[in-house]
Amino acid sequence: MRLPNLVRAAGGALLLALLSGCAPSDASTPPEPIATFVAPYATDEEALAAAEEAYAEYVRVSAEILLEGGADPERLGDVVVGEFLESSIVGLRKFAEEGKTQTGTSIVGNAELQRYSPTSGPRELITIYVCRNISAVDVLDSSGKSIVTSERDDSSIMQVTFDYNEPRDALLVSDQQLWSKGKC
Amino acid sequence: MLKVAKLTTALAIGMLIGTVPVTQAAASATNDRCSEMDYSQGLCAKAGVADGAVELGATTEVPASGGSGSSNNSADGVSFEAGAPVEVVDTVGESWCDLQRLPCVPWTPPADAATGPVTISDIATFRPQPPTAGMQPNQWMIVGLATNFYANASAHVVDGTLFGGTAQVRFTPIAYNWNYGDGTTATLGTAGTTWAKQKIAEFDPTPTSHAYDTPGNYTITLSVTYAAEYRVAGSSWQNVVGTLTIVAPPLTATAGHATTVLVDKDCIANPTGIGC
Repeated sequence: MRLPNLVRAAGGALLLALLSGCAPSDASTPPEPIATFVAPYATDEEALAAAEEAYAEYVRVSAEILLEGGADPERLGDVVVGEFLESSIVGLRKFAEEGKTQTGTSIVGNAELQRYSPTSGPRELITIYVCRNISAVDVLDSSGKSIVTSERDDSSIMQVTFDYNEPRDALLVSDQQLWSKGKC
Repeated sequence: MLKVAKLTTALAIGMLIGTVPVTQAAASATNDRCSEMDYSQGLCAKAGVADGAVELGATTEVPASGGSGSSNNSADGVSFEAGAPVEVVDTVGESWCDLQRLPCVPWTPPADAATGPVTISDIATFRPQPPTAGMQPNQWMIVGLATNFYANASAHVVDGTLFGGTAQVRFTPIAYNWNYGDGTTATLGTAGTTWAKQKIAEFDPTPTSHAYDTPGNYTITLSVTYAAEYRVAGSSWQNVVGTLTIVAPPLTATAGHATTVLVDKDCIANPTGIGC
């Protein structure tokens, strides 16, 4: 008599547990991903290295356009994406119209990974902090006069975010923000 | 339910790996984004740590009221507003400045200074305590949210001599004049105090709070207007004609939008980390 009672009590407890949702159930199966995204980098180190490479390319292409007075700003589409691309092109067209030019070369210093989010999809995949030194860079108006403001720091930390472009297997800059003063 | 459960899991994982959310004041110009073109020209606003600092010592110019001539002394700090200004410039004003050892603005005495009631000029040797301004959050604001400004100034009695005898002068703050640096000013009857002392939550509006509409760097200037009374040899307090306005050291601060970043160590473990 005792054993069946115990079994019955145990069964009741199990039923209660199931009803109250304490027991693991099929409901906790993770939802299907919206699109199948395979993270392109296995480790944070790989992600940072790829981001540094992509950023160097971004700085190179940007400088090329600016040194040519803002000519063919659409070239930026190779390295930049989204709204940042659109606003950058608009700005560069104005730069060209006003006859401005840039001189000198900037330095890209050390970079640090802020985050790599391999499971959240290709947008804003990686954000890094990177040091920039633009002490040798000058911007001139059409009369050859420098228009650099006095607030500009020679060296700064940038926060740069990249989207991953799957067809091209490339990281493209989707956002850049001046983060703080830096030293490099 | 599922969403809540997932959120809880995410939070739990976040805590396990020791991530600490840090809220930053992010200043921006028209757009937070910083293109290479704007960067080269120095047009990007800093999104991260603001490098503003509190300046000690007043630097805001106070226009002389009715005074003329001594423009070489038109620096800042203290200004008088005496009863009824006349054209004559009295040298007592300058001696007051010397006695106070404060930057000072020339002033004009009331017409009846010689024979009438005691005026501010008569109590020139009594040095009031300079006020200071405070703000929460310190040195930064979030656009659209209340920044709590408050004045540290209270009624106080200063001992000295008046008409050859010992006397006391009581200075009472009667108005707090704020220039928020964004084109708006306010004259308030209350000094205000911290959120904690008012027992309200951070960013709650207070009688002395102000909200900024636009990101940028601002210089906030407080000047406190004092009324004065005097008493000699145990007599009752007598009114002093005129008021005295003293400028507090200005505050400089940055207004921006709030951004949350995740960091893997707190500022104690990593003092050079982002946001520390």
